Amino acid sequence: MPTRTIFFHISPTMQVVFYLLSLLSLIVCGWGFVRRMKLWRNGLPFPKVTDWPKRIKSLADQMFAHRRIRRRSYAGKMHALIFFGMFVLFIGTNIVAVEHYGALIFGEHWLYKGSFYLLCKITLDLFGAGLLIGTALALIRRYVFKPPSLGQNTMDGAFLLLLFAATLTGFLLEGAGIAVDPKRLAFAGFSPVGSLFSNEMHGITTGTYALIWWIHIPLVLSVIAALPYGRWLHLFVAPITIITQPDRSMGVLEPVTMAQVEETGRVGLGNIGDLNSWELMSFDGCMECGRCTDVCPANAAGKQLNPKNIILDLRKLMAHGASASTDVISDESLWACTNCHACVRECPTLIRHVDIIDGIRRFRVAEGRLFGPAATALRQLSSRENPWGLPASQRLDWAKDLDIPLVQADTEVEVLFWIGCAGAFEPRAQKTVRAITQLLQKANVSFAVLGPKERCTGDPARRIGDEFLFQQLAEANISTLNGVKAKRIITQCPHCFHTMKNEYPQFGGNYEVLHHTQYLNELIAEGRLKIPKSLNDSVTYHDPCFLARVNGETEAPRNLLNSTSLIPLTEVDRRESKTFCCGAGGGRMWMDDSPNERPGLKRAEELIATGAKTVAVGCPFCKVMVGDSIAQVGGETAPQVLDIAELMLKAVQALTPRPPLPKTGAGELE
Amino acid sequence: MKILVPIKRVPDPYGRIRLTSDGSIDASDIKWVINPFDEIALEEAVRIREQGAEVEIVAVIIGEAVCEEQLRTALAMGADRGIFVEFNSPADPGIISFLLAAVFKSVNPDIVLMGKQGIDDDFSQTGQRLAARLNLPQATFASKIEIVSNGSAARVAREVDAGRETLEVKLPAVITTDLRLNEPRYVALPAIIKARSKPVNRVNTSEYGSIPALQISVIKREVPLPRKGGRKVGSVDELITALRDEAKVIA
Repeated sequence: MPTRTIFFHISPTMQVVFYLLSLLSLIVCGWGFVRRMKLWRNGLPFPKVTDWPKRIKSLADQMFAHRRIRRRSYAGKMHALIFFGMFVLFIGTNIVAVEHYGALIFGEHWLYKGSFYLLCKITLDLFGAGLLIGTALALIRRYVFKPPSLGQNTMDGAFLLLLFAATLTGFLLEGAGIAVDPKRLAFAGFSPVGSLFSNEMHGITTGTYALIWWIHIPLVLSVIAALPYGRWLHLFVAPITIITQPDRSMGVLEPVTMAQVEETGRVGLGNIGDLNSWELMSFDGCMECGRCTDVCPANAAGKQLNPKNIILDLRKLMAHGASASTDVISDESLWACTNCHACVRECPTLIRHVDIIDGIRRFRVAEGRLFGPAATALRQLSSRENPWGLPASQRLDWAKDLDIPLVQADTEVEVLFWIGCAGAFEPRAQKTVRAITQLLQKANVSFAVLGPKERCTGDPARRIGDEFLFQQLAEANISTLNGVKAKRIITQCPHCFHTMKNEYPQFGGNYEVLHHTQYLNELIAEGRLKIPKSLNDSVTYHDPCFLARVNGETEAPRNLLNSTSLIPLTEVDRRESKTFCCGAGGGRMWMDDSPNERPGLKRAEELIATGAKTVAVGCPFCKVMVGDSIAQVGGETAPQVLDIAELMLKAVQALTPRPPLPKTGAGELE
Repeated sequence: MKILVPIKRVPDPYGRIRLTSDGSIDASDIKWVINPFDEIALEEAVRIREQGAEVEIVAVIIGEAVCEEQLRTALAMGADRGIFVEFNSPADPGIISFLLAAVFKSVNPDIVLMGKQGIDDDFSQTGQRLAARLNLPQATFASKIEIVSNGSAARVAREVDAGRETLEVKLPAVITTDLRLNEPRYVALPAIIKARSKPVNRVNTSEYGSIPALQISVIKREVPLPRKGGRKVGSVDELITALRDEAKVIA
């Protein structure tokens, strides 16, 4: 019967020593963990956790399917080898423990024997080998490739070496076990890696075996003891962070009420005690991989903002108690964030960098620490209800020569077309809304606009940090929308789209909100809108962060572009959920960038490098930022920047004779 | 050091002023704010304090009960306490400078820091008249203020027609602020709520003796004519002719 003896050749005295050492290791590990947990309790209460099935699914997805982790090829494979190796070895050790203590009742060899034993053997052997390879890959990455965002201290290398040594000595022990126990030779084939070692160890004594055991065991116990004292803490914390993640979807900020402010006298994240326990815990889940910083557009543009350092700085700050001030995060870093959520999307442990950044912004704005053009934009937003500071009476100037119906209380329409402030006032966005309108008319959609009754959704106010200005605008808009019984709303701006779709429900505004590309796609699918595949120019597409990454819409724009062009879409490398921000989000549209620090410049270079003649966009702010950057770096042959709707209209007009131009000529498409 | 910052309630500069049919200002749609130049003065006072000096900032507003709103905003911006002089009659720079002089005497500040003009009627007289009434040195249209000589004087860069002039004034003095001095901070609602606990001293004008008579009367209000569109000219010669013969701006 294939099996093995537990504590083979380890004397009872030595077993007692082993148990004492194990206890010590568990105490050191537990103490480190409890020490961190105490710090989490400095925060506001842990948010309520409900809907467990959904959460377990999410945990399984992130932990076992490595959903986020495998977004990086090398690091993803490396992590999978280490994770599954440690996971399987952990289970294996538990099986051995169950056998060992069960033996007190059921007699020796009651469980860990026969084919089950052999199955365990081969599994443990292979996953152990995986762990060894994974750890080696980690060491190579750390000391040969040295990704700069990974960060490096002596402890990082020491722990990896410790893990590597613990695993390697495990195989030595396995080899020694086979070599020293003739009974096991018969099924040594189930330990392929262990056998490799045993081949070299024939004739060793049981004393040598015990010696190897005494090298292996302290190494393993040291790994366990070291877990809470470095980035390896994520082993415990990340699963808890993931399963208890906030219910708010990405990009949705938590509202605060005036009553709360009056009660607590606090707004936003001014010190550690203003964060909640989940947020503090999530910092301990950070394993410092640096993916957040790698994808940060502000960081890439040479700004001080470094999302990983924000998390690490705050984590360090936790040790100073609840009253430690978040002023450790510099103004320069804080205001550089475009809220593009690239960091949030990449983070394998689901840290919400943007929630933290916007929370600190909220605090600083309330403290009167906002200056400059962003402050001006908010003042204009507050008095004119749009960040351009233009009068509402000019909101329909773009439509002077088009026949656009205003919403009437007694007329039902299929959709309400939300123009947005950019669409109303910004010349390039006006061209987009004109194109959309013409497409809607062509598809015989009954629609209407709010005209002067429209006001900013409040998005810039919320992202910059004036939550109450946001709420004031949101409530006013909700009252207008409910007044006209709006149900389906289409927007041309992903920021309006996101705010109305995902954040207005916080204030009782529940509407079906569609981005124009989604609605136009629907019209084509229903056969109501026919776009001739007539354009012959190569096109690339720049995904807007708030459409693609935050709201997951990447298909509709591509369907539309493929429906217009004879040439398949030329894709840029960073696309869909990995799209690279134009630099306008998070209120950055209203702040100054020095000419060489515009995130849009990098993006423009990428888009130009595709060789496409046209860069299609789906966001008025991307259109401005990408457009300006392309003009700056593109030279004579710079591609044109057009909204998808404009391209569609172009495709329509390419085949149909043009209607006579209106006298003003405004908004004509080039 | 004590800084007195007089502020004025004015219509929001981003808003549009409409007249009613009888020619008075249509107040129904107006949002009221602190006069932007006064906001700059207050910001400067806060910055002087933030540079580390021991400074008490006292904001004063003169007007009807509704003006308290702007006084609260001033407290939210950083004033330590407020003085609210309730005055319900029409006023002009003569009256306001008289009342401010009375406030000055009760507060005894080292500096009166105020906007160079109100953006509503644009008189640009109150600071100067106040200095004259108190017989104090004045530095108007400041674009840079430095406190020097251990707090006994201020070095002020002024925006004047010929360029920039730097004066040193002995304190106490009246300094009026230009647009270039600073960019005021943004005041959000929570700051205003938090500032509610700051003290506001209400003063009745009867304490100040007989108030001078109004010297300015409003005859008529008119909305400016809409701007006429320009036109394109074909050549430089045509432009010169137009500038010389039509616009008469060159000889």
